[in-house]
Order: sequence, then structure tokens, then C-alpha cells
Amino acid sequence: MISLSLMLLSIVAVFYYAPVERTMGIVQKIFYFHVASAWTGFLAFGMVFVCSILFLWKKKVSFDFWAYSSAEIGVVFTSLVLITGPLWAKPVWNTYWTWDPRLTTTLILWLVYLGYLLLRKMIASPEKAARIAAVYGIIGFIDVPIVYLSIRLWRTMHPGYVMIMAGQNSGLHPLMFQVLMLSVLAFTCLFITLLILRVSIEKLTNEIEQIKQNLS
Amino acid sequence: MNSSLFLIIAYLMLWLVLFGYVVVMNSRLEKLSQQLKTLQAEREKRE
Repeated sequence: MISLSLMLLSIVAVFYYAPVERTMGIVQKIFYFHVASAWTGFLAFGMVFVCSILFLWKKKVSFDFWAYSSAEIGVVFTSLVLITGPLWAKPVWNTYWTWDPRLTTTLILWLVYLGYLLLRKMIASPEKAARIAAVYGIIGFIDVPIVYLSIRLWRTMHPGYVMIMAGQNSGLHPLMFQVLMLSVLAFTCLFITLLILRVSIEKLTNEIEQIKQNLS
Repeated sequence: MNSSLFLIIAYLMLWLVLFGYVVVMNSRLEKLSQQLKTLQAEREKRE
């Protein structure tokens, strides 16, 4: 309920509170959910990284549930980045897609975690799948800082930092920054809600498997 | 194409993906709960 309220509030703020950008016009409003989706994707993959380490270290299956669920949600939010990005790029860059470092590394990130989900489906033994996926989840996380730093490491046409490393140079209007922070907060709450729901599915699946084993 | 149309499509896609995901998760949860109930009933019957 909190997540839904925050999401609705952020939509109202995007359309009625945030000013219209001078050069790009109204289409720039995609930015608020594009950046928030990217942030949530990073957060989800960070969660996969931490939970995978904890799973390999503590050997507790619940950490695997959190990692697997986070990876799935991370793929959903990264898909949103890859959908909203081209829709923003077309009227501004006059093309839906360009092999720009930021865009390419984001696509690789999406493919890496899609691979993570496929890997889990392909391995029959749940224990083996969890162990291999944990190692894959840790290695796959390397792409997250690469995506983030890509605009500093290579020449790119993608807009610069607006969060964390932006400092005074983000060039963002204070009202735009406030609305962006509200969107980020709304997406973070939505991520937590979805994660709790997804983990409960994983726990239920595990319980069913145990009962099935006991019965057979 | 008008740039506001891209904005509308982007927002529609955003809500479609998010609601779609929530609906899929809820149906998975419902299906699993049903399966669990059936299995628990079967276990009780055997005991």
C-alpha cells in the first residue's frame, strides 16, 4: 500500500511539480522513472551479490531465496530501463538505439542476469543450481560498476551523473532533483514489496518440494 | 511522431510491465498455495 501510494504520488509530482526541461521538452519526464528503474536494478543485483556471498559462506538456503528473487526483480527493472531508454532516445537522439558504452553495458548486464535465471532453470538439482548461481551472481556483479562508470571511462552521448557522483555538476533543477528522489524512494519501496512477495513464493516452492519428497 | 506520444508509450509500458509482473506473481502464489493445501491433505490422509 505504501509502495502504491508513493508510486502514485511520484506520478503526480512528475507531471505537476517537476518543471518541463527547456531543450528536450515534455519527453524528458521519462527520465524520472528511467533513472529510478536503473537504480532499482543496481540495488537488486547488489542484493544478489551480497546474498550469494552469504549463501556460500553460511550455507543457509534462505540467502539463496533472496538472491534468486532479487535477480528476477532486477531483470524486470533493467528491462524497464531498456524499454524507457530507447523511447526517450528516439525524439532526442533521433534513434532508438546506438552502441554507446552506457547502453551496451546495460544490455550486457540484462543478458548476464537473464543468463542467471536460465542457469537456475536448466540445472535439475536445486542445491547444485544454488551453488553455481551464487558464484555466477558474484562474478556477474562486476558489470554493475562498469555500467555506472561507463560514462566516465569511455566517450558517450548518454547524459552524465545525476545521483551519487554528480555533486554540483548534475545540472539538474532543484525541483527536478526532488521529484527524482521521490521516484527513487517509490521504486525502492516497490522493490522491497516485490522482493518480500517473491521470496514467499520461493519459500512455498521449497516447502512443497519437501512435502513431495516425504510423501514419495 | 509527437514527443509526448513517446512519453505516453513509455509510461504505459512501465505500468504494463510492473502490473504484469505483480499479476504473474500473484497467480504463482495462488497456484502454489493450492498445491500446498492438496499436499497437506494427502499427508494427513496417509498419517
